Amino acid sequence: MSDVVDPVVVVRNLTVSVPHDSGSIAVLDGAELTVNSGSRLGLVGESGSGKSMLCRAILGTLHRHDARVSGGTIHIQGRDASFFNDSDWHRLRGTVLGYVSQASLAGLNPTLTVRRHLVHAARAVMALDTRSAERCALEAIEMVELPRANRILDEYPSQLSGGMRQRVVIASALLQRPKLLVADEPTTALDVTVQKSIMDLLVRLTTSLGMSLVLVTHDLALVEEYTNEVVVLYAGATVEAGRTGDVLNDPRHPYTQALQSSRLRLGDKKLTSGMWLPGAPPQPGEWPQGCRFTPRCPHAQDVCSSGGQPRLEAVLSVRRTACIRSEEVFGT
Amino acid sequence: MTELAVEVTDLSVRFKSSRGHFVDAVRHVSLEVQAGEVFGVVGESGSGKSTLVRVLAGLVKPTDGKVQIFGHDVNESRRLFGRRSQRLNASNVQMVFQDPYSSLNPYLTPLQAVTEVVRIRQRLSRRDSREAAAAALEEVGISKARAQHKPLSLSGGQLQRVSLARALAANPEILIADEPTSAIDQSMQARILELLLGATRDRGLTIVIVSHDLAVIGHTTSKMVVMKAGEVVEAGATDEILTRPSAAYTQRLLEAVPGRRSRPLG
Repeated sequence: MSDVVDPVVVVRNLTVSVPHDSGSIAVLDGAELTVNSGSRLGLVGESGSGKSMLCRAILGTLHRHDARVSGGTIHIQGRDASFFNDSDWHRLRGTVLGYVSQASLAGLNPTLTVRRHLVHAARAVMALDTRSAERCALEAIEMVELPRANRILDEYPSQLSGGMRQRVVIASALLQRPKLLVADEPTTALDVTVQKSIMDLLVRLTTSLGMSLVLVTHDLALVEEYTNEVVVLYAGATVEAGRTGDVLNDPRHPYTQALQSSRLRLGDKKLTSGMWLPGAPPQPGEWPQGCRFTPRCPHAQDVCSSGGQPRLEAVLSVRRTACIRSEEVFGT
Repeated sequence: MTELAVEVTDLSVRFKSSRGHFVDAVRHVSLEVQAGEVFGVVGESGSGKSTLVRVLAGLVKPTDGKVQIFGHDVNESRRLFGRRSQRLNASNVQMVFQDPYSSLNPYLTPLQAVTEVVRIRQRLSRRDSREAAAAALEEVGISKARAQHKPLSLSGGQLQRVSLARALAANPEILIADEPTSAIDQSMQARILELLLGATRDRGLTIVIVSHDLAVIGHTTSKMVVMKAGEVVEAGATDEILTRPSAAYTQRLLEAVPGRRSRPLG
């Protein structure tokens, strides 16, 4: 849509650690992610895989969680984030990076009207007089397609339905028209029809604002329906990345394959045993030698449990997988 | 003819809200669940599905209508026997709740929580109860070592399996699962549901599964109802409803399910 073709965010071989006892443990190690301009990317993995940590790394908020980057690189619009100071990050958040957190739905202050929420949010990041801030708030509410915008502005969160509250949260992330919106499980608590309306809205916004979207979720159905690229995270490392249709229809990593086959789909035959993955993902600090998926992998051999976590390697034309046996298991 | 596990006739439940308004959570609902059947209740928030099953579990009193569990009137027996009937109900009907974190006592290890139920329901000695509880947990894939960790150190999927083991330890005839998989990872959902269904097959249990997730209902149940604003808008065989929905509302629900058709990706 624009002449900008550079990726908005590029994360390479990222390691993030948190303090633990006397030393530190890695919660991400080998995370890779490229968000192209205008693309909608699904970031998937089980709980504890590091999805939220990766988002915090992109948004420059790791320090709030006692975590820090200890290896690898993050580039935001081509600039190396390791040189950013607090005010650089502060400026980027809002103008380039928008965030809808998992907790933000519960985070709306019940004693403030929607107008005061948005005016606060706008004036916290932009030098605006009250009137311009109010106009900004109104525009944001109209942008998320809430009907009777003026009336909504005077209501309190408790007067709104869950879906409307989520639209208000999205509106406050869009005040400065960011280039990338990171939405962490934005529809988890919502009904399926409301989920559809919110996801449809997000897709329209990416088009109309020329914005990229990172959708963090464990729901592959959402990824399949609403994204065009996907990154699969397991135990802190990216294990597969590529176009959504390619990756989901023809996985090249046994973990992606297992996630796909454990999905419950409408219209499939009844539940069968053997649909699910045995065991649970390893916790940070308990990652096994070699490929971290080895203990649960049906295709694992001795070679898989030596050395470190395999790096992402290109397979096919635009796909990347971190499985060293990919060609043997899945063919070429 | 098979026995009826649940018979609900013209049930209504009305709550008084904090502002003094009345809210009709369930309006004139009638349904039947055969013994040994896996039955689904589908609906969005506010549809009354949770209130309906809470009436079955004896947690909410019906305002109007009749609810029979294996031929016993829930309301009637309460009036006659007071608290004793609640105990009677508890052994008949067990529930697994949506949030495994809040439905387990954080101070009790899974082994202690299940042991308590076994000791009360099966009247075993302390030592035998512990053995039986460990076996029940083993059955849902929680090792004895795991079972001695406090709930907070276990994952959501593991805790939900503990909840299931605890419910089954009471030897219920009817198991009600209210959104049993909506708080846990997708990769673990099939596992939890398979454990639930395994319990029906092995013990002849009747199961009522409440979910907003049509895929969950489609995979597990043979009969279902769709609820909206307190009323049943569609009832029948699950396969029939999911492939040829007759109510407009059911069609809307089905259309909103993501990932059911491939759309052009651009």
